[in-house]
Amino acid sequence: MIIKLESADKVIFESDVSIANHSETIKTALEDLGDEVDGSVVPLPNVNSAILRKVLHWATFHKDDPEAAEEIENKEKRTDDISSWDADFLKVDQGTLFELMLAADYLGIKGLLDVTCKTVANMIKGRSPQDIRETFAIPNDFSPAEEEQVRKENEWCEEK
Amino acid sequence: MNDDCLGYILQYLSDEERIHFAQTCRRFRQIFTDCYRSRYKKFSLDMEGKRQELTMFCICRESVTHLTINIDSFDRCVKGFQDHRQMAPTNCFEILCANLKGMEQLQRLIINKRERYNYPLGNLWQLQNLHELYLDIQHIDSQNLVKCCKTNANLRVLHLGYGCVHQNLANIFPHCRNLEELKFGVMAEATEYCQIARLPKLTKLTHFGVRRSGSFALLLSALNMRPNLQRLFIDGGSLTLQEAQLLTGLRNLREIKCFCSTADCVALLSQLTALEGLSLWMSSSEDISDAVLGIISSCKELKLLRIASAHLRNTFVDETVNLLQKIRNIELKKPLQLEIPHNIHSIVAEETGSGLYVSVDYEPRLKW
Repeated sequence: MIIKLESADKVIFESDVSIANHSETIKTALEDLGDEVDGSVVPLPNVNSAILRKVLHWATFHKDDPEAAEEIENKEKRTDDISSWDADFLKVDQGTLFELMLAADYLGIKGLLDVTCKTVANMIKGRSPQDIRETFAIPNDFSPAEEEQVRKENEWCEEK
Repeated sequence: MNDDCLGYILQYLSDEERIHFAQTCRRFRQIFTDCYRSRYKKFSLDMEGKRQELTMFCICRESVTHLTINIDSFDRCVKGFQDHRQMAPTNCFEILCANLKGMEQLQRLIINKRERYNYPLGNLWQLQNLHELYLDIQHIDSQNLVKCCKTNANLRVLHLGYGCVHQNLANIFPHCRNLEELKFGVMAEATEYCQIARLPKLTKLTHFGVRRSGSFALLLSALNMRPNLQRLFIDGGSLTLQEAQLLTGLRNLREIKCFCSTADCVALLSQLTALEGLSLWMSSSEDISDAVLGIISSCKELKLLRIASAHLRNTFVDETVNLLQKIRNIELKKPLQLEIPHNIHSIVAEETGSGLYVSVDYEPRLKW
């Protein structure tokens, strides 16, 4: 069965329901519609057409993936298990990567959220706070007093 | 990126990387503390863990409400760190004190230190919202403690290790208007205890360890003016007859723990008719069965009677049951919890229904 999705910039996408159901958000919307699914359009006001196109591309490739098991919170999760297809798929500029992550979060697509988070985590790994700021163009907004506090926290890990 | 996404990303980082993340900018720091504050809200610092854990704890310090510091482990920490780098215990403690300053939510602080070593606890008074302070340490500078009590006006509970403040304990009392529970141990002159009676909200007072015979007489007579006092534990040094007489003046006492040397002293306690709990340790071999039965007879609210060490007749438990059968309404009251030395044998037959009146336990010293 084919359903219609409408992006923020009013572009209509057609998708097979089995692919669209990767998104918890769309799945819930379809369940709410019940029998009136045919012909109706699911609006997705938080996702623009460029990103939605990529999301559907990702979901189509991963349509037969098994459901991932829940992992334990707080424990460091692996980031070195990104498939080469996903790695290629995510060779995009930072802005697009973040938008894909936001879309995955909004649409409730766990697999895509995981892999985008892993990609961003890999950009943080092994970097100092200053490196992280440079990577993501984040200004250092700590006051001198807060900088001093950071210094004190780090004393635990310094040689004495 | 929204906060949720940044929070997810944290799950893919190691502790060290999470720290770098938190030290990047204010927003990242906020996201880090949102994720981890619950882990450090009630924290016990024992220096056995990883250094990163300590840094993460310090980043979340504003959310800490309960903190236990085991200073003994600082001495072992030189080897304790997993990466085997050296750090002197005093340095560790200095860093900790510097970070203590920001713990604005800290309500309960416990510092344990069994071995003698003078750590400067000078930063204690930088805390302002303490409700409970437990200092199980060998020494604290009296001036620092006074400052600490001044800035923490809401202090409700103060426990001090034996001899931790030798003299001048009285100096803190003018600043402890809200103190409800005080535990201390010191072998000072009687006049120095006396000031305790000036604490307006005191409900529970514990003294422990060695004290001079009769040293509580002045305090007990001063406490007469404090009807709030409900729990009094004099855990060390047998009460003199004079002290026991003065104790009977504190008619609102609900719980007592004390040492006695004569049956006469014990008999006096029966005047404290509001008693709900009595823990007694006899320092002589005089039989106190009659005195204790007198207490059971007059203290109708008694729930717990713990006799850690004493000479009692073999028929004591039966006599207690017989007495309670006459005076206790078992529909309204639970059985009296009776803890007596194991050499006192009970020959009560089960069919008399004695369990409705007393429940007997034979390991009172373990619960002292």
